[in-house]
Amino acid sequence: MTSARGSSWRSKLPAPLIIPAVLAALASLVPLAYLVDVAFDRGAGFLWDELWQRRTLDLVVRSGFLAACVTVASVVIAVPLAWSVMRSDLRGRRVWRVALALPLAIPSYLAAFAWISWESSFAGFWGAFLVLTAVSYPYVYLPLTAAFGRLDQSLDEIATIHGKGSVPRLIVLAARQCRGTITAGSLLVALYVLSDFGAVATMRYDAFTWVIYGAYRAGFNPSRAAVLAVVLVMIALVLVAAEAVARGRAVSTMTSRAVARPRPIRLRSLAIWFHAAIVIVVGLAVLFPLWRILAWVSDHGVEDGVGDVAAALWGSVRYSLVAACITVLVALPIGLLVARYRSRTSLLLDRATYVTHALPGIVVAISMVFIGVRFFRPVYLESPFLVLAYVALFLPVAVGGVRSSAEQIPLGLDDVARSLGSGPMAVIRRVNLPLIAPGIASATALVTLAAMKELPVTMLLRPTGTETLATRLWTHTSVSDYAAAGPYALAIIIFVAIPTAIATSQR
Amino acid sequence: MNTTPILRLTDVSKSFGSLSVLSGVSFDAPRGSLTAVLGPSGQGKTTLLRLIAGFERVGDGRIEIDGEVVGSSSVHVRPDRRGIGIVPQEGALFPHLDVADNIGFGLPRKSQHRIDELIDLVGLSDMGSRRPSEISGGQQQRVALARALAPSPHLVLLDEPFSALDAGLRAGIRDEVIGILRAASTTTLLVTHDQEEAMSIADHVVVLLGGMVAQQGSPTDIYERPASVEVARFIGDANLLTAHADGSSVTHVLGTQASDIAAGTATVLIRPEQLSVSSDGVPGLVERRAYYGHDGTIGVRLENGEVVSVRVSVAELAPVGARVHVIMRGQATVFAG
Repeated sequence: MTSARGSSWRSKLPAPLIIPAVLAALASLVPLAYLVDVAFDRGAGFLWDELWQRRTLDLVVRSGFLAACVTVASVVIAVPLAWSVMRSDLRGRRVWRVALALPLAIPSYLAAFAWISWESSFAGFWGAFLVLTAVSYPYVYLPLTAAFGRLDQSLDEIATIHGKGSVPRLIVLAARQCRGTITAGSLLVALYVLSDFGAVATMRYDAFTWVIYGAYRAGFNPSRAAVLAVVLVMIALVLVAAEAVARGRAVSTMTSRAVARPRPIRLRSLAIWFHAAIVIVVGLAVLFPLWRILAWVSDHGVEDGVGDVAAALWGSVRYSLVAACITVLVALPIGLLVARYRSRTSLLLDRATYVTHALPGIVVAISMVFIGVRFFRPVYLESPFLVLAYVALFLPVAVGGVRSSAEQIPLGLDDVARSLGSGPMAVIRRVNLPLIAPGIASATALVTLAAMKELPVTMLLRPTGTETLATRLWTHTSVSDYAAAGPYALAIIIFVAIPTAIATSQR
Repeated sequence: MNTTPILRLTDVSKSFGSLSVLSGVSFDAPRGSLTAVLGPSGQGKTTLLRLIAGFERVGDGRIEIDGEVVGSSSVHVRPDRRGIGIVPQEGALFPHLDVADNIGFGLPRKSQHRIDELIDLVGLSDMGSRRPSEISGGQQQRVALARALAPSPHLVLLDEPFSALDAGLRAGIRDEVIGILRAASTTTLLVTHDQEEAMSIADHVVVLLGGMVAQQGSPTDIYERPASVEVARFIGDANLLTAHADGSSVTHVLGTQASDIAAGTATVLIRPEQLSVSSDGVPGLVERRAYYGHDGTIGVRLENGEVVSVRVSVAELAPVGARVHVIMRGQATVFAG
């Protein structure tokens, strides 16, 4: 029996962990702080004027409308399909289950490139809507498959006994039990849409990120870019906070006891509709982009030459790998403290990394530009600065990885090691680190891949003369040179999307 | 011979925020003894163990190990410097280390000789290179014990070490573990909620109820002379009957005995094995019966409406509804009120 709340939690934090952790968390908040500073550069009056301009309000409405449409579409896709692959007797459901998660691995600008290179009239709202829905519905779908898998089937049986066992009714019944999971997933989709740069930029849809980029590029008005970025961050913070609340509720309403593997519900003649829906979704989200890219490459050959693609690949890998190693190293003390010590400090650290989670790439990019121009002239647009920006952007991903693997180590192991004469740091070295080594490796891989497909930060902060796969693809797409973009798109599929799909499916 | 107790707690209290978990706990664990801290779940046992091991700070009072204060409101010796071995509930072996490395974890220099000695002691001679996941639950408990004993600690704490094991294996592994600890004359503190376990193996039992020591003494003391109705109810099956005291004797439905308890209402404790069915005695009606194989119990509603549990042989296991007569042997334990 573990009595009272203090039990099994050490409250005294080891200083060798806490100092780097606090420094890292503070450093990760610097871009946001500096952004606010720039926004106030011309005084509160200017800020106020910018905020209440018609075009700012229009922007909020446009971005909000896009986020709302994508979120609704994602829920409409994810709920019945997740139900069909988890709770029904749909044939091939194990394969479908994996296939439906694949779009997560495809960068939004790559999907956008595939569509716009096929039909340029997709540009604008509909193109952005289509692409963002295709790449972001897995944020609802994935947690929902897990939640559906844990549902007690006895409710299905009771509903059937009472003559309310039709398939649509059972889907609604299951969805109502997983409301919290759906809400949390929806908020993640909305956050993703608001943060996304690649799709709206390629589709030329005037959403926040694209307008912020435009204001920055115009060059004369950094304060407007900063003001808009602050507004975007505020909205994102609300979404992040709401998501944390919704996820907490979803977890607390979940049954913790092991439930018997539910008997699949028979779809009978409805099965064909589910198969058709899955084929359409996977087709639009995965197969169509693949087909387009392969078509470009086979029609136009490798125009840029293999050498240029290789150079861009090397550019992507080099910075991403270095950044990933540093990010995970920085995340290690935070992840360990949050997972294994309960105190006000570790709670604050957790919140701080959560805040940075709300920072869209373009916001991190322009705030790093401001910081670089003002304080880091010598290294601004040099490789260390790009790596630093990646660290700031991906710290939450790495902390999440370290934390979730550290949480799986029973706290009792630390106690035993302490009683056997090991001090706090020796426990970390001899017990915790060896046990989270696989988690560290997978976090490093995920951050590497995330950095390789990252677009806005790379674009704005890459060292002069350096090209990466993402920047090359962007440059060619933005001038509608799709033939030249093809090989880079293919390289991203091979070296980023496929490894990402493999890495995420193994977690 | 050194008579300083290995462990001495003096008025130890602990609270988390406004929630008081332990108050005024005092007891000694003499050198080489096996002391059991016995109490139901949620009564402060785990917190007590964590205070002794040094995982929590003492709120008030004093904990001494071998005469040295290791915990008080002003002193806190770190857990890694207390020389206490712990065997947690589920063994908690290090999953990334093999059996030998688990046992050697607490040895300053990985003395292979000492590791081999302990592997032999717990009877796992050819299993040194196995991983914890490759051995059974009982073997894991033995490795956990060897690991705790390796640095020759002053004191070994056992935290419900047998409760995670299958009922069929529990008694065997328990006897084995206790045998090893006795052979090494290690001072042991066992924390458990299982009163049969505590009564059958401990020299000294500390009953912890509501964060306080309700009684301490030998198992016989506690069973035969419980200090309160609560202890009586917690330790073994108890028939608690209302009685009337007149200052020199008490009278209850099953008889009268001498007692100097103050006049008024009283409660008497009669164990089921003190009762038997017979041809004369107090008549009653069998309301329930339970068959245990070797014997059984029947619940009899007596003429005054009170129900008593009677331990009977299988032959005497009357059916529900039968009329029987109940008689009592020996003395009841009397409590005021």
